Amino acid sequence: MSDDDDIDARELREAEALARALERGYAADDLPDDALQTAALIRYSKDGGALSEAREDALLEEVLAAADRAHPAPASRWRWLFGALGLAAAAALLLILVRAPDSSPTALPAPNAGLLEAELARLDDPSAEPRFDAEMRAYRGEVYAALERRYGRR
Amino acid sequence: MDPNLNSEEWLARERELVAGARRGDRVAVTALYRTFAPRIYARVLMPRLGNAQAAEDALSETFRTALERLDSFDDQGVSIYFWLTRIAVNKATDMHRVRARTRRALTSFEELLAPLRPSAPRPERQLEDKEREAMLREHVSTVLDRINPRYRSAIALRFLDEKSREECAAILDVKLGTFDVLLLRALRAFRREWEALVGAPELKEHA
Repeated sequence: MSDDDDIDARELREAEALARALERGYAADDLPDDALQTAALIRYSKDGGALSEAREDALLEEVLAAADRAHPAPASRWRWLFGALGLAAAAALLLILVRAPDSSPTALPAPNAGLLEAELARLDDPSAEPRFDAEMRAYRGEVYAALERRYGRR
Repeated sequence: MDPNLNSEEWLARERELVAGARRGDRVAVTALYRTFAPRIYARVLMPRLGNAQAAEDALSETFRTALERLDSFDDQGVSIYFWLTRIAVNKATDMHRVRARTRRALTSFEELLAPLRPSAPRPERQLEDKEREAMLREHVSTVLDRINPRYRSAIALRFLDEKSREECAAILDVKLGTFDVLLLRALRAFRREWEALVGAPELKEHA
């Protein structure tokens, strides 16, 4: 039989489909499975279906990536832990700041006009000293009361 | 290294590796992969898919699925290889099932190989692969010797010397389309002789 004797249309379609399948791994409608099967067997006989080292390594990378996704690395877990601890520390600090006493100066009551007048009177007339003392005692009481409101009784 | 899968020593080592892989230990995963991936590819996937790219995809999916389900694996005193093999067979079957949609050229030549296989496979035998490969090469060579020399040349150039279609056509001094037909006829002639030599396979459909 010569190579191109009696080639019918169906055989031609099958031959083209087989060529595409062997070259590009694409299965057309007329792909003859008997011939594809035989071709695969002959190819397999050459090396027993050996997986090349390069392909074995490349596939290992995919497998390891899948393993990493299934089990996050310990470093990653620590990162989450540190993140959570940092968040907790920030929250605690905020709480302390919110609950801490006001550190601004205590607003003390201003001396009233009576105390100032008694002070002036005492400079001119030493007999006005008792009046000054009384005004001063009253003012001191107001200051102590203000300090007690701010810091509590000690 | 190809371990003796049934030895107590290997099974103890394998249990450590499986425990490590369950924890996500990359060294353990790598050791299991290096031990079993090449043989699953060669013995299970290539004969069922007949397509290197598809077999690689199935191999990768086999290990990914195995890692996802590793907690459910119970060795029952045998190697994890057999569990991995079942997963691989299912992956190959799934690929055949969706073949009409993916349009991948897949074919199983398991039945053509079957007559050459020992009746009781012994996975622990390290030499078995080599022996089987040698036997297969010998049978292919015998069948090639029995077919028309022009068919023999077409097959040898295309599949054993891995020449392109264009190169094959040029060497055989035919048009490209003629070479395609020549190769188809050569493969059919080879198959007839193969079946005469080793026995005809039972045709099996992949659902």
